[in-house]
Amino acid sequence: MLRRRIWVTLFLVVALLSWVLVPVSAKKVKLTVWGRDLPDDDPAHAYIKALVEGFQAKNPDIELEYVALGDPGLTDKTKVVMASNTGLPDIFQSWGGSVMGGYADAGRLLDLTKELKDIPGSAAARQAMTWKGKIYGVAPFFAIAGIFANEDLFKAHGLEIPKTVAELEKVCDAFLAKGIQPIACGARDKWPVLALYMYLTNRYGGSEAFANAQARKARFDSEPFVKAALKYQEWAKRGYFGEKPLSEAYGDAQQLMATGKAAMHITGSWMCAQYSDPGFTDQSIGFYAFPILEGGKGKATDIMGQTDIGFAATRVARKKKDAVVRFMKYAMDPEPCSAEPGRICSVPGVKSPSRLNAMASAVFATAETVQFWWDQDLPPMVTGPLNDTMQNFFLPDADVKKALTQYEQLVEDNVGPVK
Amino acid sequence: MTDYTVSEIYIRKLRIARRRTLAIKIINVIILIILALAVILPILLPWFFVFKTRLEFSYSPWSLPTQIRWNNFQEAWVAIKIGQGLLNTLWVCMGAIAGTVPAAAMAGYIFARYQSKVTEVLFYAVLVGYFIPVHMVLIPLYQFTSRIGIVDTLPGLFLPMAAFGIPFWTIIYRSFFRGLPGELAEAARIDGAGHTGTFFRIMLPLANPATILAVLLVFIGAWSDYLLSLILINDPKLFTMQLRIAQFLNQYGTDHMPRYAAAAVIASAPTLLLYIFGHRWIIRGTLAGALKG
Repeated sequence: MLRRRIWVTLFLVVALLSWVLVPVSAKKVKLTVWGRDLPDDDPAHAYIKALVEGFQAKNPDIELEYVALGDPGLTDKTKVVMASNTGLPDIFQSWGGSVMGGYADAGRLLDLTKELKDIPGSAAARQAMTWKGKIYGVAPFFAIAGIFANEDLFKAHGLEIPKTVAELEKVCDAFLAKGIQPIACGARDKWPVLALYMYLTNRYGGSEAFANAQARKARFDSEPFVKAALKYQEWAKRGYFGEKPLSEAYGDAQQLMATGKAAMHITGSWMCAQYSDPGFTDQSIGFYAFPILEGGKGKATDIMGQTDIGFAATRVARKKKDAVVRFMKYAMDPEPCSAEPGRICSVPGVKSPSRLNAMASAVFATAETVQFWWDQDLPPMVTGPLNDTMQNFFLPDADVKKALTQYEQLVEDNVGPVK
Repeated sequence: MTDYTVSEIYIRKLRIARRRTLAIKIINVIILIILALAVILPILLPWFFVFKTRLEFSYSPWSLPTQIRWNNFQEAWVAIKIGQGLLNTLWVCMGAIAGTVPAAAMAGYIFARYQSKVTEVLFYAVLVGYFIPVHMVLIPLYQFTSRIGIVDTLPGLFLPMAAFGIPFWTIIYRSFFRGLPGELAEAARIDGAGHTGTFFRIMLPLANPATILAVLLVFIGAWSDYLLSLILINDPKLFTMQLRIAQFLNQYGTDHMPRYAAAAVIASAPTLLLYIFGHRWIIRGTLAGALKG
């Protein structure tokens, strides 16, 4: 009788425990991540695919919903939900900088300083995802601007990769004489113009030129900015960017490089995957640091860069912080990072997947100063007008100084006057 | 100086007039060809890309493909789950039509037939809605749909679409109903029909050209919508066609133009077919006065 009671009690306890515990253990945490690229078989999306599939396989207790929104879909949708303060995802792909900072200032982001401060990664990448001393996410990939050069064309015409701006001009003149477009730009899309302008300004005025203007200690129409703009305009007049640079989109610039119709492309290292993919180009392309300007203040080790792939967490994820941190840590894990065929990885121990990537990583390794891409570092209300201002560089009769003065006026109205 | 007879002068003038008429005709034809190309080229362009590899596209984007390859269509279909997108878009289109056309037809009829100071004021109030751009109200719209719990649902997408469409189609129906003889409604009333009966049994069937036009154009509008779908839908299972295609795009354009072009061809096919089979109704509706001020 007693035995029977013990068995019945035991049965009831087990039944009760299973009733209480099973739903708890079966309940998965759902993590919504908004990203840009599809996790498909495109080489440029290899990291995202490895991240999504690998994280899900390694974390069966978390239901990962990865939503690919493309671009500008991702940025537009993020802006609206951040402004509405409703419908925020747990994590979103972010390029860090001032845009992420604006969301942090509005109280939309989740402070992960304590959890992420010890994750190994490059200082530049960590800096990009830090705002006012707080870490909001991770940047497994960091892009730098430099020169993609068609090495076959250089070799065929007996030219050396330029190390100074004067040499660059000579090389451009030589290519022009051979009927080859020296530099592919993609000015129709406006933003591609910035990479070269950032470098020219740096080479004239050093890294303090932009830093001072940004901190409102100098004007955006001060000497280095104007000299760089005039040089840009001079090159456009000479035809370095083709006959009709304003009708050439970024995609056209890529095609010109991919088919050997242009000799150089001054842009971000995110193009390493495409330019080393034999399905995209049959040219031999290398990546080099932007030349120095003899007599200028900028150094070859002053590098322009920005987050290439980064993730930030929002405040709605505060109740699932553990899942968020696991995602962030896996995003910085060598396993998914090793799948990436082109971008420069911020994670130590990840081998360069291609010669082109190794070249870009080597340039990045020399960096003494990393200046964030201006359009990621300036407040969003003045970045669009900057792109519009730079369009003047391609108009032979435009007064670029006047255009920069007008831009300075706009910055004064939105950010504040020079102190 | 040469002397001309009256008949010679007449013939000369006639020739000049003929030449002028011919020149005007040629200019008109050229303008029409340019306008037609502006519409036709975007439909034709993707066909230059869809059968190419990426390398072939890089070298010769505008040439005819060297080989017909269908794999871009298959890969695009799988990569962005076009099938699911088609079904969702179809639901949204149906919802937008059901939300827009009956409401606009009834409102247009009231504003056309029951004119008073109150209906005039109401009509102008509706008219104001036509001038509000979607971009301007995106954030409050998102907040409102969230608050009433319909965000991230298909009704949460087609109801705002209907709200934005109703003012325009009310104006169209009003102008159409005003063009119909009022005696028809009076005769129906004498025969014993009430307001509802007069509208549904007499007036609405007469407005068929306007209704068919509204159905077709609301369908095409809802099918092509990107912005509202992007903002109001979060769940990928509910993504519409345009959202799925936008997944191919990035800041640098697209990584795979031939695949993107194949997706664009698939997505535009239903609206294109609809226009091919329904264009006579669109023209008839337009000529019958539906789009006359």
